[in-house]
Amino acid sequence: MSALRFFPVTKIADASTAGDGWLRQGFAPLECSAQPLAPPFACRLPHLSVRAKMAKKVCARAKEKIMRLSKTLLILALALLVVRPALAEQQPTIEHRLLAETISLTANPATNPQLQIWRDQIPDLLKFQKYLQAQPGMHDVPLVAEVFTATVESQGRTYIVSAINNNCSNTGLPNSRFCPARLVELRNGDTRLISELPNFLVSSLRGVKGYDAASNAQKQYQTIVSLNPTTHTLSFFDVYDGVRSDMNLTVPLN
Amino acid sequence: MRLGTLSAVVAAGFLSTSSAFAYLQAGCANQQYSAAQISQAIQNSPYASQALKSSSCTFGGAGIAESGGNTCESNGNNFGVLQLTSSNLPPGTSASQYLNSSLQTQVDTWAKQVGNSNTSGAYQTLANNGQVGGYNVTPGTLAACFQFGPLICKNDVAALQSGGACPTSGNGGVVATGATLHNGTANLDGNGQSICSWGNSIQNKINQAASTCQNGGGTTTPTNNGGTNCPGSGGNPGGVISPSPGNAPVSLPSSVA
Repeated sequence: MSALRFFPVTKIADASTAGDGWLRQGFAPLECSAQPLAPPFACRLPHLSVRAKMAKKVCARAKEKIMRLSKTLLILALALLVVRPALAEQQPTIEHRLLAETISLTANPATNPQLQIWRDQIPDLLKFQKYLQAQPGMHDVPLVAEVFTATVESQGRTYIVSAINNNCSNTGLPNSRFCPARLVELRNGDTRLISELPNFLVSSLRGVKGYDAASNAQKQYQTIVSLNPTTHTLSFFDVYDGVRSDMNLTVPLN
Repeated sequence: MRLGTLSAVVAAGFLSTSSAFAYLQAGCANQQYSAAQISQAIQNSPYASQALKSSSCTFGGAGIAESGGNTCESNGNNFGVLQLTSSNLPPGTSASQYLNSSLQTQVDTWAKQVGNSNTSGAYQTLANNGQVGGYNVTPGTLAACFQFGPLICKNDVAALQSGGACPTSGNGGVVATGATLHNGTANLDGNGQSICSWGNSIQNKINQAASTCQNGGGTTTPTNNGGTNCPGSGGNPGGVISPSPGNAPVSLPSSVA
């Protein structure tokens, strides 16, 4: 009794570059049997010569079919390997605008990731707001800070870009400033710093009492973050007086 | 009154170089201060860095030039004795609240919001050198550097240091835009001004203020030079201050202090 064992996929797997393990896993070695002649996946060779010949033929045909199928699959697989990155490159970028957000300096840090992102600056900010609050005519000054922020989802993860309105420097344009910014990953309620972005360009228009809903409603001055899902990177754009400019800043999300 | 006609646009470093009309905030206390008092408030501020304190008299003089030393001065975009821009007002405060606050509160806010960040980098080069590439550094130059922020100032100083002329729109200067700010090439503000051209403009204002604002608007409180690097009453108006530690040798107009 001889068992025909062939491995139609071996070459495919070898030919395929690496990584696509599904090619190998989908084609386990097959055993042929002529009984009950159910080609191509099971053939057992009988001793009767006529039936054996028939079975041989059937098996040969089955083998041929499988080889043909293998070749087809090989071509498809190779084509997929070539086309897949190209398709991925065509995935559109996803844009988010950095929106002004007011954060309470006295809130529990667990309630707002911004308080965690800027935890090193909170005491200083709180001290100054309290100082202002104690000045005549300023009792209603809130104990808050302002950030410009956007949340980005990529590959199942959540990232936050946050620029804080603290210790910003002038730029030569009245509605933009260089501010400290950070890129963090939000995971299980905690933040993990990915990048410090010092001198991050922020353009916006202040409302009567700060950067607020009115700032977010206008579109002449804004900062935009763009996610490239293929390269898993963020890039940034500045809109000043309605004119959009590439900030030539690309940050990986790793 | 001089304040009513002040065309307002230059300032101690925070205003736009575009023009606007100045006015005094209605209902404001209309308090005026001398350059020495502004300088003293900077010295007293717990929020001012050493770099800022070392240049306190420069900002005192520029404050007189731009606001007449009046805490109620505004042109709609810039506010108070040091003409803080609206974008730099602290969270939760209105321009009106800021204008109605005391000199010390205004100075503290100014120092906290922009004072330290804008005195970084090339500002120090200017503050510690009477000349850069043959260009005479004046209080106006320092104030313009402060106003335009570290990037434009750095690029202008680099142009001076390389022996070239200060950038202008006619000699290849690069106007600030979102793109040129981020690729680091901007050396002119949004209105095409460099620290040289705008510095001269501020310096002229300082010089004018010296003759017109000497005694304030009638509500000036006594001057106080103690602890500041402003020239005292026995100083040499119009002369050059020697480069005492951390202080640029600057020419001050006769009555700035």
